[in-house]
Amino acid sequence: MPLLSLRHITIEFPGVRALDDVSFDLEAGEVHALIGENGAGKSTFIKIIGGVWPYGSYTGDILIDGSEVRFHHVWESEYHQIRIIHQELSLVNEMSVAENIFLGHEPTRLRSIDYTRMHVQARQVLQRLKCLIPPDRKVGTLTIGEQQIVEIAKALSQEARILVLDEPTAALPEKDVRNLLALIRDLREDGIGIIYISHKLNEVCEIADRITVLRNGSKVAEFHRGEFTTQDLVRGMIGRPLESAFPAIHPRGNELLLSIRDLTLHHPDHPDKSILQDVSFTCNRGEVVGIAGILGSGRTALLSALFGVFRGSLRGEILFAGQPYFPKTPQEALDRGVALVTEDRKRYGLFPTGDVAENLSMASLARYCQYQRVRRDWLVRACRKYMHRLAIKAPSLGFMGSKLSGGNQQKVILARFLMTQPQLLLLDDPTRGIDVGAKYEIYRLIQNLADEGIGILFISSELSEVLGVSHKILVLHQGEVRARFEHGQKSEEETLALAAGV
Amino acid sequence: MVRKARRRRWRWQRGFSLVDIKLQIRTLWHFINKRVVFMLSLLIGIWIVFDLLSGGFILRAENLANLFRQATVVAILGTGMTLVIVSGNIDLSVGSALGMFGAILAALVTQIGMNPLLAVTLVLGIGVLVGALHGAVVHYLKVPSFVVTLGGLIAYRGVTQYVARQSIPIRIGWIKGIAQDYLPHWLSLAVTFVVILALTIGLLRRQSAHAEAGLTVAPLWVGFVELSMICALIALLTFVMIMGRGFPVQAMMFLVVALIMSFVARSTRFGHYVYAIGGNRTAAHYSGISLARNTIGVFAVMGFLSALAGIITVAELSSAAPDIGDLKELEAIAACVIGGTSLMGGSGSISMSIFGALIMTSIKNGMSMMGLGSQLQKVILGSLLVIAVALDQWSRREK
Repeated sequence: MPLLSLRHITIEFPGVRALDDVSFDLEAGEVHALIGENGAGKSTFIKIIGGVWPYGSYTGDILIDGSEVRFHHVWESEYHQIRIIHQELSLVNEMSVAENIFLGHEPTRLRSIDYTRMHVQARQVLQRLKCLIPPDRKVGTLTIGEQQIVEIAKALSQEARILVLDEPTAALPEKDVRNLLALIRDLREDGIGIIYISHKLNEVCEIADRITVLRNGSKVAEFHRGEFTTQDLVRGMIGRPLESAFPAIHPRGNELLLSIRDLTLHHPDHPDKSILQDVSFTCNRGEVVGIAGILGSGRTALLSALFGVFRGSLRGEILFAGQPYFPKTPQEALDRGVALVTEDRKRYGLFPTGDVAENLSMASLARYCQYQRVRRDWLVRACRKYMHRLAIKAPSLGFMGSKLSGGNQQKVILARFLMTQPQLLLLDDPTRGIDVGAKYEIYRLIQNLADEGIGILFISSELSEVLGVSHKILVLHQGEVRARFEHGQKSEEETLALAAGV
Repeated sequence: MVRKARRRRWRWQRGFSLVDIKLQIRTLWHFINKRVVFMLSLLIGIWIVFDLLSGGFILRAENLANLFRQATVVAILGTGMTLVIVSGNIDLSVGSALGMFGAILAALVTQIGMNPLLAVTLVLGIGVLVGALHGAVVHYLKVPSFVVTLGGLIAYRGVTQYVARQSIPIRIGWIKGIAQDYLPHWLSLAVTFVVILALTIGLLRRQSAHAEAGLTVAPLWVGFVELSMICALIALLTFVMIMGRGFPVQAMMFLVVALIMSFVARSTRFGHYVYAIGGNRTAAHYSGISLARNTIGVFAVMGFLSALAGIITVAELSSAAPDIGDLKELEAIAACVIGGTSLMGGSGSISMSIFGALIMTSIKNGMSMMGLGSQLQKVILGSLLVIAVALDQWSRREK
């Protein structure tokens, strides 16, 4: 008898059937992965298991150990020992690890919090996860990987039978991903049923015992371990086979656009420490330069410096279109024709209260102004053009930005900066957290932009992407250039070894 | 066109059809701006209720004119406050600043004998500078605007009490006229006509712009129904006021400030940037928007409007007293909040804040007309503020 079983779940929202007759089983001691493009219904699915969408808002049954359960509130789901770890971590940065783990169910003595017991228990939970973080450290001082483990510890501090992980590796560097996957295997041994949601197909293939593929709210396939190839998964998710993972690379231009010589960046808080050490490279018009490196290799600092948002001091020479270039603000960078699209849409990109038109036009508003007045008609014409060009799917320009899907949000932000007509485009992990189809469209867009003579610096947390779309690859390790090579010269394993400093 | 013609013929054959009317009402309800309708009917409802309760005092010409005069200062401050709050800040100093600017004007004109026109210009200029200073401290020194303007609230009250330790009379006729005079009837009518014309042109232009923008476009007749309701109200108010002493100059300034500020918020680069900064500061910075210039700008506009409100207040009272403008900052914030401006920043609308100011003033005015004591009035007003916002939050959650 399955531990958790959902039978013929259907849920409708005005105008859309978010889940259509989906059935799903989870055994104890099994990792069951759930994959699908953005908007396929994965988050709705989790919300039903978590009791966010209460009994009655959907049709169908939920069974635990074969008997029907009805969740009217979130806490009823928790009562059945279902623990959900959301993509966005819900930790309080100012509190210690132990306080976070026991937030809401602190061990007490005489009605006051028993800190000794809390720390002992926290240590026990962390030990079970083979993690050596001191329980009294503040969560804000931990790396994202460590925070992720604290979040899991929090879920396991109370008895858990079902663990739901929603994109747990989206923000993790490669090393921490390894740890996390090992941890999940251990939990599986303990008999916990795990629902694992991810965009990264290689991880899913590695960890999952069973895979359910959702598309447009319907279950299109269920595979057992060893019964499928990555191609099968992709075909299931997007409904057609992907000819190749990356579009063909076009020939690069040969006119020099950006040249960096001996660039050194000093840490803003510790001026004697350098984040980047004597980095030199060039980028031509129409060339895609990929920068490979793990988190903390200085790759993001490099792009921040080129966009005028790096806070520390810098030394070295940067020539942009033949002129010295040291931007102090994004404004200056955009005026010179340099644009940055970052990975963290919510923080650096999206205006959640604005509509699509506002989100598109904000960086280039001056172009659609007559004196100080915004010419709505000019603006609309431009927005239309770019929506069409990037195939942004939004009902209208008046649609709220925060209601778009992740892939479309990212495309809107990319379009916002393309509307400034940049000469150099800095892309910092632009495909993070978006689905396979949208990723492919962005790769193709990168090639088209390069064709138009735009120089591109490209960073990604997925190494295969960097290798797949770039003309030239630079490997950074601890702020220094470890290697530089042309497209196709090195394999993913070799590059990874270089980036990890082995 | 074809459909319209067919529908017309259909009606011709069947005569008066109930189904057809029902369909049109449903279309109207779908496209009409429900918040405007809600606020408008709330305002009219309040007038009618208090008119009945007070035995027909509210809707008399003199009182309506008075009501608009009372609302002017709060509404003017409220328009600026909306932008400040939308940008993710707050300005607590406006009440004290208003007092200070009024006192300075009175001192300049009466005690020093400066040319009144020069004095008014100077005070407005100081207003801009003081506001810009607030913005600069907020942006460059990273002091939260709550703290900066709380300091202003205390300090400017001190300045007011020092400058106007004995109340300073104002004897210049035209300054008093700003607040106390009425427009000639022909001018009132002309202004009403121009406003209605402007609104009509605005509707037609918006209609075509929206159609091009791919926004769902309401049929033109829906716009006209909406427009004619607003125009009817404006025309009615003007005619009622003309029956009495006329249209107050203050109400005129109120109207002008409202129109300009609405334009600034909706159709200028500055306005767009303010909404962007309030919506997501970091994203705005990364989009090349100058946080410094726009933060300082928002506070400078607020400073200018405080100075304007100060001038109107001393003109109204014919003198500057130590306590003028007391608590006006909170009334302005209340007007914004009643109008649905989010204190989190990023959303809010000037016209809604003006409705908020009118609603608050109407309730105050109505309670005075009923002869309620000022103590009780405050208790009721405070409770109503909380209830209004609770209702607003509830209505949003329902969606």
